[in-house]
Amino acid sequence: MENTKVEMDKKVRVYDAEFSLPDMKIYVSETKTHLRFALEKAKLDLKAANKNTWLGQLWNVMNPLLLSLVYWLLLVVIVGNGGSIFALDGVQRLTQIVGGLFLYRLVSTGLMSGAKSIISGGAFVLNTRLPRLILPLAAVISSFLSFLPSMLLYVLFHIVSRNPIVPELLWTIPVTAILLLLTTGLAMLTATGNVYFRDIASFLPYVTRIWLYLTPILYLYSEMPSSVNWMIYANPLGAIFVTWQQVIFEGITPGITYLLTGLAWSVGLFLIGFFMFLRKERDFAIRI
Amino acid sequence: MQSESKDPAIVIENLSVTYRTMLEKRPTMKSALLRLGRSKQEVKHIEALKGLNLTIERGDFLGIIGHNGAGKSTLLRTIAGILPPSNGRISVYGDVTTLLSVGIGFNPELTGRENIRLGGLANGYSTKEIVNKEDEIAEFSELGEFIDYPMKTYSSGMYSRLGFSVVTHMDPDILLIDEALSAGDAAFRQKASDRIQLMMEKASAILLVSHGLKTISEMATKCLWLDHGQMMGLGDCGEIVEAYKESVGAGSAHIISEEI
Repeated sequence: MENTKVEMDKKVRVYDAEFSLPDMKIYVSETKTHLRFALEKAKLDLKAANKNTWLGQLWNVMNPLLLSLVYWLLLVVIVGNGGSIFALDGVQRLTQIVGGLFLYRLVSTGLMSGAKSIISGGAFVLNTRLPRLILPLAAVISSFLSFLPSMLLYVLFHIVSRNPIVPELLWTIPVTAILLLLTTGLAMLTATGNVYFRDIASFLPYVTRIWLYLTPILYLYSEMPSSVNWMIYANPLGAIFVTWQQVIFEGITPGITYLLTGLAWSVGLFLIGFFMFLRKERDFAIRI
Repeated sequence: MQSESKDPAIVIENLSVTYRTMLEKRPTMKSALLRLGRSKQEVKHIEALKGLNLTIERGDFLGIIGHNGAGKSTLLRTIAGILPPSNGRISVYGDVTTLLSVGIGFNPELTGRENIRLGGLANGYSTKEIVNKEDEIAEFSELGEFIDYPMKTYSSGMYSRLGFSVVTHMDPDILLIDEALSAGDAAFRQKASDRIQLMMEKASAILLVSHGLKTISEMATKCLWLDHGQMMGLGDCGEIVEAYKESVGAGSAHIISEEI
């Protein structure tokens, strides 16, 4: 047709049998154009998930809150480790669990919905040329979007238990960013893995639970016996959660070693996840 | 670029697509355990397309026919860049929009309108562009107030009408349509085919997969007949459709019934 001829030189796409990593510039720019989709999908997924419940979107905050209460009951009331329930130290223990669990949920839900993102987004994978990377990204964004309001709730706990209110609290932003990078890396990794071994998504709830116990979340890093100190560094989440506790409970600038360890884990896992995803995404449509 | 009277829109050279599926006759825990350490898996290769050569020029409306499993949808998916070729190559000149299975990734919990937005964004449109198109798409789909209801309340006809409307309101250079014209009742089908004619004026090439032989011979300018991944014929629709009907022979009754 005559009217389209002018634009002819614009785009030629060649698909062939040889595998090669995509042109990074094009790949990144295509992913960028579709970030709007990721954001919209994340929002709508959250909305759809709780649509039939009476509390609706409030469940995004209720879930981690109720889970915190369960752990608090277990640790403080049943085991009796952490002071009396109604005294300040009991409340502080609750705040500490809430603060840690809310952040941990960012990782665990991002990881779990990320793992399923390719399979559950099968219709998009099979029928559109949407960059596949968008699907795990949407899962992480969705997890982040439910994390934000939960932090507002945390602020209440923070004030009630008289935790320090200092400028150092701004460190929460870079710490969250580091954790977000790590979550994205893990989401890409598990999303890829789950296409080949569907069992991964079924294992993940147990993995995330064990990971929760191994990370200073339900307990303070300062309470860990020094003999297991190495675990903070060997656990990709360990150092990041130490910095989180230092910032929000102690109100101090996080230790540089912890910060760098956390950053190293995040960047490393992000890169591994990213390239693993790129290498395998061609196969997704065949495997779904 | 060749400056002949017609420029290519899609060039397909020696294209083969093979699916690899792991077959386990009875996927039990026991057999999985027994297999551990010994890689005794049955791998079955399914050749969906075998050495296909084809050039689609700008202005072509190619109808693709063939029995179920002939490789029609695989061909569209490969052109769209969704499935990787196992052999050969495809060059595509221009943007591609696919209308593969109707209802691309619709989330039944969300309303029609929300799904329109997602569909548009998935095809790379900006939020602003979609807001502009939203009402037009809603109107075209004839869903009335249902457009703001969750899609799980839709009938299958409504579902496919919306799917059709979303994709035919994008402005691609190359449009790939898979079995979409069966959307809705007779009146809507007429409207749908008018819509495709209109898109044809804007798009540089259209590929349509359908079992509706009548629709195909009316609309397409060229026809491709696929059988078990191989090209059986390419050219004038009248001849190709006749040849296809003949090969199906007495079984042609089922084709006719799909037209009704």
